Amino acid sequence: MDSFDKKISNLYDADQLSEQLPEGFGWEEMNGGIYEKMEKPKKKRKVFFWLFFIGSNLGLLAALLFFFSVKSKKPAGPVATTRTATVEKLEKLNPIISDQTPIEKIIVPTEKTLSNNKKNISTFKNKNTPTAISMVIPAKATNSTKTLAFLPVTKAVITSTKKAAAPVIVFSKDIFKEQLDPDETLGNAQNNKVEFAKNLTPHIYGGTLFTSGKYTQNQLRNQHSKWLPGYYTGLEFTVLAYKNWQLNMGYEHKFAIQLFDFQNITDTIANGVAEVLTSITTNSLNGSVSEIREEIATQAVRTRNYLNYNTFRSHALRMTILRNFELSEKLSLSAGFGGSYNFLNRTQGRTIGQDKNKLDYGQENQIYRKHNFGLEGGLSLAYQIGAFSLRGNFWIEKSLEYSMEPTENIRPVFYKIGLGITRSF
Amino acid sequence: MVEERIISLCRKGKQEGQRQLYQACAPYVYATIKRYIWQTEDIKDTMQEAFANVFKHIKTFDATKGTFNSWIRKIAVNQALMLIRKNKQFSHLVPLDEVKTNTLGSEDKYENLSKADIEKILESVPDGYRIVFTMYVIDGYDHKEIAKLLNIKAETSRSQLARAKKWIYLHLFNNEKSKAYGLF
Repeated sequence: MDSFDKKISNLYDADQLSEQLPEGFGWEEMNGGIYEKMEKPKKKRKVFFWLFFIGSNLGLLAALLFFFSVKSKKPAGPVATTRTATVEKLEKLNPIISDQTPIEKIIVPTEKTLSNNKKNISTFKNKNTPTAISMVIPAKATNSTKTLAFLPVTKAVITSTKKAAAPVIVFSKDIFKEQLDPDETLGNAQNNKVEFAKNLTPHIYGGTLFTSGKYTQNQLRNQHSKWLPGYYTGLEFTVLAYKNWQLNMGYEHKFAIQLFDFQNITDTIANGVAEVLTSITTNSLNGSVSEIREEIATQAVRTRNYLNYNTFRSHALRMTILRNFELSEKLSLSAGFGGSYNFLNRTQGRTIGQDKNKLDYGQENQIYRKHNFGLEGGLSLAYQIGAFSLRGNFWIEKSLEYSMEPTENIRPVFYKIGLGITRSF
Repeated sequence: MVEERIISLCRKGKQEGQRQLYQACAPYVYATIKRYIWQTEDIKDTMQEAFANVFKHIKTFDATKGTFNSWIRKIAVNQALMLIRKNKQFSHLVPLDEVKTNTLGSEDKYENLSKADIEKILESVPDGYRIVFTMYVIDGYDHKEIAKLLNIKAETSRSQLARAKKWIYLHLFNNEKSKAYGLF
């Protein structure tokens, strides 16, 4: 502290005890508000954060639920080939299979249901079924047909073929074929379900980033502001799929530059208050003079002659929903929408001109918010080449809140035009 | 100074103690908040928030670590800064080029300065400078504390203070033809 600081500090210290409360600040007027604020928990108006947070968690939960439900029902071995082979084997056992009374529905239970099935054995329709069957293939009659698709059929068949010589097998050939139809069990049935993607199909993309967005309050600056093309790049994965719909999640990086080009720009700004003598009155009787002084705002003229540029970098987590349209065998179009959470936004201001680095923007003095949310939508055109598909992408992202503190706000719109490549498994 | 008896009553949650504490400290809290916020309604709201926090957290006050006045002042300043941040009033400032300013006074140095003079000048100081200046010179925060509260670097706080002083010198004494500083 220098002497000037001490002088001011002393002025305030000496005066602080003589401060008077203005009207309306008494205990009677204030206590209601104080107690109200003590009781009421603060509302955090981070609506978008919580929407994103809840949405992400629901998505993750749904993904996990589907993942575990599919995993628990999945056959242990190579299902399709084994089943075909099994049917063929059973066909070879024609004398055993063919002359039996059909059973409408058969399900081979898992180990968990073995004990329960013992009491259901009696419900077999075939009256010739010997009691020994419970030791051979524990089974029960059921109306369900879909469950079979996920059961360890290989194990069941091995058991049945082992005991094939015994005249106890009661399976109907037709019924059995129906049950083991690979199309139904592996193909169409699964296509109609929302599934956690077995392989997280990666999509690497990037391209040119065009940006627009102006300050809402500083029109003069807007006249001299422009964005230069930047770039964006990202990696995303398909985590959920339902028919032609996909849920993708990933990471994206953006880079852009905003320019302020001031070439001999002159304007005036308010820079203080001055006390000015506005009139003098002389009393004609006693000759006294009275002065009237008024406070007026003073203005300063400034001339700006420099070029300033701000680099903008952001990292974002994205979540998008895509709808795929097959245009031809190899060509498809995807339309999508989604949201992003931009974090670690970084600004670095540089000034070129007679006064270098006069703009005090930097890591600790951000021109933009450090994080924000965005909404986006776009189109992708994909061309399939083997396991890869080349994509042309066009997406638009609207920032929900960007701030140039303290009062000037900017909400840029990002136009992303680029290419991507997706690997299918 | 606030009596220990009043603090003790407040710790027990007694309304009478809270009333006495308010009456003892409100002028001081008001003066503190007024240095940062000028709108009457905002001052009122901030005062209510500050006293609500004082009553809620008075059990955490430790007399061995400082006076009650400095504790309550920190709460008041924090509350005022929260409102400033909420309203995005904190400025990022840059110097102006070739400013021509009106002459305000003579070369009288600051021996004859009054609090009213300072307050008049502070009204014209851009928010960013004023807040750092007020925190450092009047409320006695050091640069590390200011940096932490304003989420800036200590060096930034120092430079803001230097600029604030330059602004104040220029407008108080106006004997320089050097650059002024202002909002970009």
